[in-house]
Amino acid sequence: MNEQLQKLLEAAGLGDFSQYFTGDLSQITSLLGLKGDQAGRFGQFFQQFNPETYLEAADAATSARDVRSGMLSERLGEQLSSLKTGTETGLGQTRTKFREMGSESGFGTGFGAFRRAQEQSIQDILQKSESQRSGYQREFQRGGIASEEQYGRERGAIFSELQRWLDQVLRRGETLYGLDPTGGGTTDLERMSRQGESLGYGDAGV
Amino acid sequence: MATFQELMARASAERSAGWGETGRKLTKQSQEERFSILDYLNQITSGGQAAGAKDVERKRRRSGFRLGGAVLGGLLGLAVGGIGGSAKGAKWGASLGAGAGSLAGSKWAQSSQPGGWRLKDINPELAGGMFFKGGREEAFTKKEDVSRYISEANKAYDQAAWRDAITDALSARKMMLLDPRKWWGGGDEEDFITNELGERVRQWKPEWDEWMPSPPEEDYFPSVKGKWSN
Repeated sequence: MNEQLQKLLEAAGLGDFSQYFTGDLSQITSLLGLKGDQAGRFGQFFQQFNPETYLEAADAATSARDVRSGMLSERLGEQLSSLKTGTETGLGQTRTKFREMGSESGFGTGFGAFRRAQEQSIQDILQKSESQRSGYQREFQRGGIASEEQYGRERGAIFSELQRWLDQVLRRGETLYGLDPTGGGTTDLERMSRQGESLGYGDAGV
Repeated sequence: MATFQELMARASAERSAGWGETGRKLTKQSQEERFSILDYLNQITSGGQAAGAKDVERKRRRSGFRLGGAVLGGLLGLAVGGIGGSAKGAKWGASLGAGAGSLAGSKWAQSSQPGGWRLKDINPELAGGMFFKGGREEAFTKKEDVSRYISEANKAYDQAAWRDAITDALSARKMMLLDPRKWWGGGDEEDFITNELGERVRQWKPEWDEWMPSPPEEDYFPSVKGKWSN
């Protein structure tokens, strides 16, 4: 899981901050500069990062892209197959048609005018088929691009969510420092009291 | 299997709810600590004000006892010292009596002060916390200031009885050395003479020799120094 998460963070541009995502709460507070007892006690004000949802979302985005890609390829295959069938049928029908016309007229299929007309018809069918094939391929490419864009948007949403999480960690750290942390509940009142006594402030009596 | 949108909504909800919850904890903790420090400061302030008020009240009360004691002691000393018929005895008796009476009055006021004469030290409680390090130290310093004030006020009050007794004795002594007519001023004119230079100067009185020898004549009349040696 950590390896997957690391890759995801690097892709999001957060590779240098991966410890904030992979460390436990005391490690996160240590990274923010809180030391010793502070690091443990201040952990309660942070949220542990849960990578599962993000990794699932990344998997879902990848799967969705694969599905879209598969659908596009399948569709293209079907279209090309259909085009091939249609072209072959058209060519067959044209040949039959000219054969019949040649037989009926008594000139045969080798007659110049028939032959030229037949060649022209076949050429038209092939051109039309080629044109359709190009169209299908362009449509496939456009679908591929749209699929990648969708994939990019989904990954971007994941990255953005990761960034927001990191922002909140850092902002919470700033908030803690703004509250002037005492050292994790170890305000040294005893030390200050000793200082006071040494200055003669300890006893209010005569 | 959840869709991408569902998963992202879940991630966002987890993040938002989790940070909201920890933020609420942080706010609760910090606000509790802030208010406890404010409460601590308020206790220090009110303790200091109460000590100040009691200090004024005990001094006012003692001054009455002191005056009464000094007057009674002075009169008693005057009477006792005067039994022998000696003027010196009456003066010393009045002085010592005033001092002793002042001390006794002050001590009586001190010992009979309702609630005890000492100003009680403030002892507010402030639990340790996670935040406001500077604020805690400032509050502690303020507490020490008030404690020091109370301690010094107690010492000064206790010592003042003796200081006042000596002052009262000396005052009585000075008054006894004066002509009673001059206790409240006036009557000085007859003490002045005009010397050979026409200057108005105070004439030396023999009773002053009791506590101060008279200066050489030329020092007492510097303006004529050397003139009489001619």
